[in-house]
Amino acid sequence: MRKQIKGTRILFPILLRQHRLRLLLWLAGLVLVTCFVAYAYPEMYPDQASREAYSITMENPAMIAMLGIGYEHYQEIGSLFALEMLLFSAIAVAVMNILLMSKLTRDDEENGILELVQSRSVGRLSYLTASFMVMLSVNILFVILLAAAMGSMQIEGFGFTGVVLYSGLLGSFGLLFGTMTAFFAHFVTSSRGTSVLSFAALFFFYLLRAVGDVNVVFLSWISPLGWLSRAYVFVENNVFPIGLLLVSSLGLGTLAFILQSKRDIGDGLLPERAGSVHASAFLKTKVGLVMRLQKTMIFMWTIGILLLNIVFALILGDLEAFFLENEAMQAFLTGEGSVMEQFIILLMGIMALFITAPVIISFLRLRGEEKANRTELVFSRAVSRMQLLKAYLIPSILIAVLLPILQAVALWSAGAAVSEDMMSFSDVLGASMVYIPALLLVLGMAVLFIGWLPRAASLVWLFLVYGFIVIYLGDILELPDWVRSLSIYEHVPVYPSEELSYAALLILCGISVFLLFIGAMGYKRRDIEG
Amino acid sequence: MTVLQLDRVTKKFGDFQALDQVSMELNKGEIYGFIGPNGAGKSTTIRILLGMLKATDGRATIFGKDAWKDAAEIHKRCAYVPGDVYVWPNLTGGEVIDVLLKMNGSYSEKKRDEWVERFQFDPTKKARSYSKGNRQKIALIAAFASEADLFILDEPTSGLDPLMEHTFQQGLREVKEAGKTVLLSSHILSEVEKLCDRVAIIRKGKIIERGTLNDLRHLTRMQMQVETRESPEGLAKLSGVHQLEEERGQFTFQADTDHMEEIIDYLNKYGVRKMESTPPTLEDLFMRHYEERSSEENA
Repeated sequence: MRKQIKGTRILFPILLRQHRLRLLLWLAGLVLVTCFVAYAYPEMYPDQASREAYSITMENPAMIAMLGIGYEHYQEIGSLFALEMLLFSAIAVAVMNILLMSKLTRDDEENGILELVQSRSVGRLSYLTASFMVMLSVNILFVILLAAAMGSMQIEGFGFTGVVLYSGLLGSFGLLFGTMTAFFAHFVTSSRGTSVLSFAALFFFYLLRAVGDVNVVFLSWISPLGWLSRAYVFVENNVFPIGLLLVSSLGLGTLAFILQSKRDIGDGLLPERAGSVHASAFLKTKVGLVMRLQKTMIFMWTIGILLLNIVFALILGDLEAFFLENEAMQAFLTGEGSVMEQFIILLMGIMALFITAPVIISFLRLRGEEKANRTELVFSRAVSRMQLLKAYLIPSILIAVLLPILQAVALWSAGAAVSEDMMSFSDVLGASMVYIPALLLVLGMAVLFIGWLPRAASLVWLFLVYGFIVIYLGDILELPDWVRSLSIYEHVPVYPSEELSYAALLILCGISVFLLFIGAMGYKRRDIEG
Repeated sequence: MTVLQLDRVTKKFGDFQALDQVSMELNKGEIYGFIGPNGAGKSTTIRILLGMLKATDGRATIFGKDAWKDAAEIHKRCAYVPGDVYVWPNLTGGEVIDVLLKMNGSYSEKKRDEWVERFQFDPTKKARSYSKGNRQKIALIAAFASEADLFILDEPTSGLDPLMEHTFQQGLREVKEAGKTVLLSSHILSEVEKLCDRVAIIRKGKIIERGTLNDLRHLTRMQMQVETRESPEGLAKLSGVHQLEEERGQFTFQADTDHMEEIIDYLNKYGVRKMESTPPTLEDLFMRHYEERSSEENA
């Protein structure tokens, strides 16, 4: 055994150093966000009435599916905090551990680092042992930091035992997913495959828990995410979920080490599937190629945006109660019309910002391809600048036009299923589609940048960030009108509460076409880097 | 017939002068070598030919068309292989080859499969898992399997093993036999020597030498090894003789080709027993040009 882990002592500090900056940023981010939120909670829900209102909303199956089971009707403010934060913090910690471990295991193997190390007088299990030690240290450090930070704040309703348990739950959950990643690393031959498997497992356990918490309790007991809320942290403070997490980590960890000692270097246990020898007819078209390269991105964003819409639609029924009781939320609703109408208008405004992201990502890939030296091979064939630009514009335009329509369908059908007085479909569709010209305008800006200032192309994101600032903070900061009007999204007519102004929409469309045209001119005449 | 022509092409990146009045002419059916160290301007020249960079001054034409304006039109009859091939990581090698071939219109599946076979390439893997050599094979197969009349190759064999390099050279000979034209930029001088009819040497953005290999050799010295009955006194003083060394009656020196006659006449007086002469390799040419230029600059 000693022979197997020879050299671990040298490897451990090297690996730790390799990742220290990224890990410190992760830890700082996780601890700070948790502390800020915890600090804000007593003020957000100061009295019994507001907590009651909160508990009504949280009994909605959609909320339970999303956040997990609540308990004790939130007598302790900590339990309220735990309901909103525990699950998603655990997911964030898991993500950190997955990224770390897939780098430390498969990625280093793929890049030949492991081979180089193994060629020296180093034990077969040393690299994995050192990797585990790094992962373990990070999680332990996280638990100590978080417990110390939250504990020292001494917030009412956050008992010290609860704070320690909360931190411990997150840390051991991270440990489990780090271990799981090391386990999965044996099955595939790429670090990408490793993290895909691990994220898929995380997502699968989330779904299992969602269904379990709403309906079929035993499913929640299969999912490590389901164990978390069973600690009833800050109220009952059960320790056994930590035990479950640690025992399963130990089991998976042991398997990971056994597999490591048996497996050939560079080998994966799952048989590799041979890919296709020929390209399909669709892939052979230029648009087809671009779509194929972006399919995962487009698919994930579509699913994400539709799910968000469905979740919001499911709480539409409890809206009035929620908004009437929550003063912070009321600040957002200041316009005319029923609460539902105002809410949907606001929601569509925010969702337009979300939809802007895939539109920008999709088109900026053209720049990404150039930076990765992949346009060179394309332009060396019989492909003109305009043809490639068009091939990238089409998917972006499709996203900007189709996603608002799809989201209206999702929002309306889910809303109509739970609420009797749902808005008419045409109104929902209109409220969503009025943003299409604004989306196209941001796209036009992106084309302009790619054509004339390719190095600064990512500045397009500022339009989105600024849009967020104006929507979220515009009222709170009392921004003057001219400052708001710098945001593209502020020029979209408010529908259906106001008369639809076709002129405004046409002007936005006109500007988009103009920008697109000017940008294309630039792209046609500039040098291509690679 | 001129297939490719560069006429005093200049390229500036801001203040940096990447190319200075580069001129070059490729005739139909020849393999033209383009040599020079990294950063000399080979790839910049090639990118101007491909219409990816716009020349600051001068004219680049291929098939009589403007390399910048008619890029897509020209590329229908053009094949390019870069030294570093970057392809889409989540497509298989086979898919990438098809996509590249299809971009030029229709292509022969038979020819494609034949070249996949000849390069012993496994097209079923995702491109991210290929080594450098395998990624280069993707571009080579897409080039050889297409109906191109002009091949632009930028260090196309830098990742290939000797067997595959042989396949590549074989392919290039077939291309030449079919009357097609090749611009081959390379570091591997023996390869250029084996394949090319004419060469151009570029340095710091300027073409410093061009011509057939024979032309270039005339400009330089032969390596001589002589053994004579009597010791050839005064050989060192003869003009055209350089770096004379003696070892056990064997003299080695370099001789300027334009003084060869006098040198041999002189040596004959001493009774030549053995004489060997070796033409300079491209490597020697290259090194000499570089050394001379640098010493001139230092002086």
